[in-house]
Amino acid sequence: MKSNPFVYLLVAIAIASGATVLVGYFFPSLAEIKGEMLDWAVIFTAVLLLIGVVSLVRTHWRKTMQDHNDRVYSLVLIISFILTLLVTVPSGPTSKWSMWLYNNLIIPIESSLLGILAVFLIYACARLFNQRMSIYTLVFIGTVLLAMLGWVTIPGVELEGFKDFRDWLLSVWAVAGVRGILLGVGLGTVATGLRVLIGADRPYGS
Amino acid sequence: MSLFDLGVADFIGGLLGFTLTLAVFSHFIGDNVAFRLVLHIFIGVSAGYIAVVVANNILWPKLLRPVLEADGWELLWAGLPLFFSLLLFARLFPRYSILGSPVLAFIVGVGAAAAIGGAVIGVIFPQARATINLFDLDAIRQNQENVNLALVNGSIILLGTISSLAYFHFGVRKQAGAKTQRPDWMEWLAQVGQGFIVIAFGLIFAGIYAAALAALIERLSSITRFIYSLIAGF
Amino acid sequence: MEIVSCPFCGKENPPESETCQYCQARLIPLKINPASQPDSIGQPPEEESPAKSNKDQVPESQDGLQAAGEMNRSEAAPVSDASDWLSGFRNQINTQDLSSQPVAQDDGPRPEIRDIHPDIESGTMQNDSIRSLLFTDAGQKEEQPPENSVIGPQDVERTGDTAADDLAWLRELQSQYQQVESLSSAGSKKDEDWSAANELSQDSQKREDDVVPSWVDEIYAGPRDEKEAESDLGLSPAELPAWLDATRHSGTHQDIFSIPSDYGGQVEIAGPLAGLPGILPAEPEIALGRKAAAYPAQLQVTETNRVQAEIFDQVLQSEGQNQPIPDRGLVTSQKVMRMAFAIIIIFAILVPVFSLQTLERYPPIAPVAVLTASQIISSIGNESPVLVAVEYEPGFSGELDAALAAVLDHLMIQEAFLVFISSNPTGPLQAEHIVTVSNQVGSHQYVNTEGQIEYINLGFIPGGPAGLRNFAENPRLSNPSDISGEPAWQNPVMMTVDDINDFSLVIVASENQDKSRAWIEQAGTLLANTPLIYIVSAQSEPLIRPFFDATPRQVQGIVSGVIGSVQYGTTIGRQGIAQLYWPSFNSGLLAAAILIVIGGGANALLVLNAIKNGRKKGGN
Repeated sequence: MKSNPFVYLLVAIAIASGATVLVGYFFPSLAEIKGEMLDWAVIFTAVLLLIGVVSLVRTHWRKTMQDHNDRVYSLVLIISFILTLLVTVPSGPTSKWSMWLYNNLIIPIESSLLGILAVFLIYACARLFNQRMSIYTLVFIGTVLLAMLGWVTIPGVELEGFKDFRDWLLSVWAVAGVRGILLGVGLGTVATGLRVLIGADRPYGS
Repeated sequence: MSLFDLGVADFIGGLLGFTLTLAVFSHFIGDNVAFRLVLHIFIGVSAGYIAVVVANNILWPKLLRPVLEADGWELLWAGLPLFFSLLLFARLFPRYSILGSPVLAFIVGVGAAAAIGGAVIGVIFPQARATINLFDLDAIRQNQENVNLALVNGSIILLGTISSLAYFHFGVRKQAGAKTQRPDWMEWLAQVGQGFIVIAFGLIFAGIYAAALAALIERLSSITRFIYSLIAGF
Repeated sequence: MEIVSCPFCGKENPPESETCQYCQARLIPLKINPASQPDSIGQPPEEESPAKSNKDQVPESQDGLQAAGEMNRSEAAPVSDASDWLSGFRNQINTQDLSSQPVAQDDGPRPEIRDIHPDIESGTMQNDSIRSLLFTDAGQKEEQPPENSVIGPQDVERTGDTAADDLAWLRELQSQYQQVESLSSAGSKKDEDWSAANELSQDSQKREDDVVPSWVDEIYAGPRDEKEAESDLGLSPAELPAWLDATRHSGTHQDIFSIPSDYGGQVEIAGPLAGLPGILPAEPEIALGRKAAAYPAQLQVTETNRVQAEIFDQVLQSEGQNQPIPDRGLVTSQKVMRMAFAIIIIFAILVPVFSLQTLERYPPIAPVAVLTASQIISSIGNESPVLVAVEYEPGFSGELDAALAAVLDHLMIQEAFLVFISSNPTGPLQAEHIVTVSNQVGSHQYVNTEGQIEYINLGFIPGGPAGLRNFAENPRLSNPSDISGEPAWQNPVMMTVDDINDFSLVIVASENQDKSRAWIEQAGTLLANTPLIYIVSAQSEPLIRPFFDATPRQVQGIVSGVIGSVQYGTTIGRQGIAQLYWPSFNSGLLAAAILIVIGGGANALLVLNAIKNGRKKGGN
């Protein structure tokens, strides 16, 4: 299969830019060019964010124009988008009306979505034995109960033991597990990044 | 006098928050039209804010204004990011999306290098050093800690770190005629690591519930405040 | 009606016909007259005839050798002198009249094919000498053959004129009949013409063995004779046991290649095995295939196999078919339980609110992480630039607003210059929101106006880790303007900041573990003397704790969630949002613990009971 020579150009750009920045991490002499490249990457990422918003609006606009079941929802989305622009563009994103919209629409919706999660979490935890019965389930639920009891205060009841045990769990056992996860994540990040820098992975298209 | 001075804005804002909160709480019953409408409103408003913040805080001061204020050779240098940014807009059109691929390659390369540098310098080396330093007796004595207890804790942390790493190791060497599985000692170590991970996830789960509970408290308190203000107003 | 099949063309003919209607092949073989047969090959028949005529076993009906066709006297001349009996044979032949032969030139009587079967049946064929076709006069077909089988000279003279015309039938006979195996090559070589004239057709008719030499009877081992022999010897037939007899193949189908049941009585009439019974016939009966056996079409399976096969067939047929999803009712047990859980938790939250009672008992001792953070902030001087990264989503406002407000309250007391930044697009808005909240809670007046600037909102950092690294190395280049678009670095406090190390303190408020780790990786590695404090959600505390417990520390202080903010406020002696939430928070935690214990215990008992009854072995 004939390779597209344009792909080699893309790979060369990715490798060159990545190698320059990576070397700049360890050699301060390349700090200036690294800074310039980082700045350009920041600008291009912001442009990509804007492109993402435009694409979102275009998709829902097409749904509105077509005979789609959810066209009403898409229309509501577009109207909300336009109203937000009308409110924030003239006076700025942190103006009074913009903050009014943020405080009375964004925060209540997101907080409510997180609030109902509390009920679902406890319900799922109570039904955990019905899904899977193992020693790890017992350890998990026991840890959850210990953590909660280590936080609460009950009048007339001394729960210092639970608090100390919870602190010991957090500072020793949880740190051990999380440190292993952090090291694994770090090694995985290095492996994934190196695959991009040697051209093995090409997420920018081919 | 504005609506804010009259308090009308606060009332309307409170009413809006109250309505939206109840619409989201209706999800307890099940998926319904009100819940989906609120979700789409949220997405639309968030998209609007993102577009305004990006345009106001990045594109204007870093992309457009330098071009407008520059002249001569500086104009050429300032115009390069603008030119490449316009190439990125070609990604919106499938026929011309290839024009934006070089810029994407640049972004990916820089991002990968930044991730590698940060992981090596910020996580791998410091955390490995921290695990080694758990057995630094001088540091233990300097912190006025019980040496035996500190060594026991350090041993537990060392065992947990190694076993947690082993839990995520799935490389197996193929053997003819034998079942493909990890060696027994690796399997045992992974089981121990799973225990450590389960304890960490249990604490994380309790923290998630605490965060959700705080959000629920905040919403219920705002609802009660609004209702109380209505009652007080009447 | 019995049908006779032609041995040559295979077509069916009436039983009474002597020749095939289609190919003129002989259906009834010619009978051999033993009297005219030489005792041995090569001997003239006239020498044999007296001996044969004296034999009692030779019926008178048997005549000498009769051959079809004419033989020319001139053609007879080349015959060897030793074959004078052949000339006699020829003369005898000339006396015959062949009805089936083509008309000769003269109208003289033609030799007629005579059926030799009766001769064979009567046993006139004594040995395996050369057999010849016997031709009888058509008019004398059922008559006794003439006694005098010797053809005299007068007969030869009478028929001499028609000898040439009579030879045609002989040639024709040669073409129609198969050659018979010669007994000896010597005789056949000497008498080539004789052997050619003596072709016999193989007959598919039954042959009975009435005249069989005794030694042939001894060879023949038919079942009938066996029984007779055994009975002659005084042996009784063996009685087979029932089980052995049951194994005898009953035969549900005919054996295509089995020998006919009445085969045992057949006697070979031609060839070297003539006169022997029980010879495997090269008959059309074997050549013709019989009707194939009808095997049963039903598969012989057991009942269990049949049921399993039906189940498998149903599964295969249902593959790919859309199974209707059963309608779930509006009210299900799961929904009822979930509503019950929601009511209990909401009730636990609202009771302290409506009881108007405050819970004075707070978490007693602050952890080291909180104490360290408070100590660091206490050391912040007036107008010191403090970088605050607002990295949490608006949904976590309930928890992190309480925690960050407590810390910002302390910073505002210290009169620090706050610089807000965020890698979230909504972070700048959240920063404005928290400043408003902190002003309300702590009664501060932190503003950013033209006349008074006490904080700056630098806005948004795109690009993730790359953007953070860019900001940490060169914040002026990264964010030259604030969120309003105004130049941000012209403030006297901001002019002292060239990189992140110039800040007095860096605070990161985040609920996201990835963003928290990105700040440590990109910005924390550049911090030399500037402390780093984390304001995190309770869910992120276990994930940030390894950085706090590291030696040297990568994070100098942690304030975690509502608990941490309560402990922080207690430490600095300030009341904040967290203290207002605490009673409901405490009862909510307690209600959750009780629900987990009761609900989980009930489910565990149900599962154990099911396992005990053997209905379920773990899993869903």
